[in-house]
Amino acid sequence: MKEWLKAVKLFFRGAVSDSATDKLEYKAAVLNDTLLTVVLSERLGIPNPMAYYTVELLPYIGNEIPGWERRMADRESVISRVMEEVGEP
Amino acid sequence: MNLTEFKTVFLSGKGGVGKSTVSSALGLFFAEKGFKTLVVSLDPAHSLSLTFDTEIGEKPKEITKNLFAVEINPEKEAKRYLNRVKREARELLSPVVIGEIEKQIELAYYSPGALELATADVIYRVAVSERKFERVIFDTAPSGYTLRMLTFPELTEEWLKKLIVLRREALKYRKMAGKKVEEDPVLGILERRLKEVRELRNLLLSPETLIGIVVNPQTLPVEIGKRTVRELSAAGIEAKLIVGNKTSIEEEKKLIEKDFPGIPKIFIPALEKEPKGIRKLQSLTGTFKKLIRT
Ligand SMILES: Nc1ncnc2c1ncn2[C@@H]1O[C@H](COP(=O)(O)OP(=O)(O)OP(=O)(O)O)[C@@H](O)[C@H]1O
Ligand SMILES: [Mg+2]
Repeated sequence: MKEWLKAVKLFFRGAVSDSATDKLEYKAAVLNDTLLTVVLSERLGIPNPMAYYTVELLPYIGNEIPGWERRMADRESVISRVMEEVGEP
Repeated sequence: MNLTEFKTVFLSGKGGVGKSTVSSALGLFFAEKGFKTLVVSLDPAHSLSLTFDTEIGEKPKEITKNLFAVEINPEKEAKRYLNRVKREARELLSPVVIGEIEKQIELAYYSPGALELATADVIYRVAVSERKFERVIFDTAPSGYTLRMLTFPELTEEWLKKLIVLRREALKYRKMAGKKVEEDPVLGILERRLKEVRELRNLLLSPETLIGIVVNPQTLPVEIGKRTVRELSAAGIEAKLIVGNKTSIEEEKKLIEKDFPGIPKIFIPALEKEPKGIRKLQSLTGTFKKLIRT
């Protein structure tokens, strides 16, 4: 399982980072995506007990959602590709 | 212990035990002692209009010298808040995302905990941020509901802190990557929420806050009262007063004294007629001076 995760992580890094700036932007995106995932968890079928509070953020992060959706979809496709190549953990 | 030392009061208890009546009488007691006092109902039913026998609305109404009352409906507050968020979303967001987001904002009204959080927002506003009274008494809705409302801050606080760290770090890396990072409204909202949650928890744990439980000398109200004491204690909150309402005879008092050892008590007799209106409530204020310790 650990090896598999490492392979996935390497795959990600290799795919996106070729300069130091890209790496920083990538880091920023990963962190911000985690926040977006919490705020948008209901779109993934996970109930959010703080939904009443988090909707207040939507006017200010709403425009970041298409990027988040794209990266989430990419990640899924990357992961499924890795799984095909490396096998299920 | 003297009840007038408490600046904020919450009364819990089973439906119908007399929370609104006791809140109103206690408010009158504080007012008589010279404190500018507000009695707040957070209950969609118009409970204080009944106890004070006069129409009370969303704005504090003066009942008598030093005494004000207000009825706030958390459901309405929730709608107002969500409408404001929707308006902001429409102003700021692209047509690509707005449809889905408006839906999400509307659904938040029905999300679990929404009403508790809306209630907490009202309490915060009335008792902390916009406080205009020396004494504030909340006539809260029945126990389970009230408890969830009182115990959430600690959970929420940790969770908010994590979101703040994520956003801060993300902004830091964005800046390091050479992007312009302006003052962030997301961080602003999260930090404001964290501040509110902390201040609300401080209010609940403050020595100047009284959380009291109203019971009647019957099995069910007493059992629910005992459960509330336990649940409060699990949340780190001490029940500081038991109000034995509609408790007239010694035998009944003894029973309640035995059931809640160590918690100060007051007893209010069952009146023949429902205590409605200032006049009749006045006949009850004397009971708040007779604090019983067992
Ligand atoms: N000491 C008392 N003597 C006689 N009647 C009382 C007394 N206290 C309350 N009542 C009556 O009991 C009824 C319930 O009281 P009240 O509305 O204050 O209870 P409550 O706990 O606020 O109820 P709810 O849970 O519905 O908000 C009312 O009709 C009220 O007038
Ligand atoms: Mg009531």
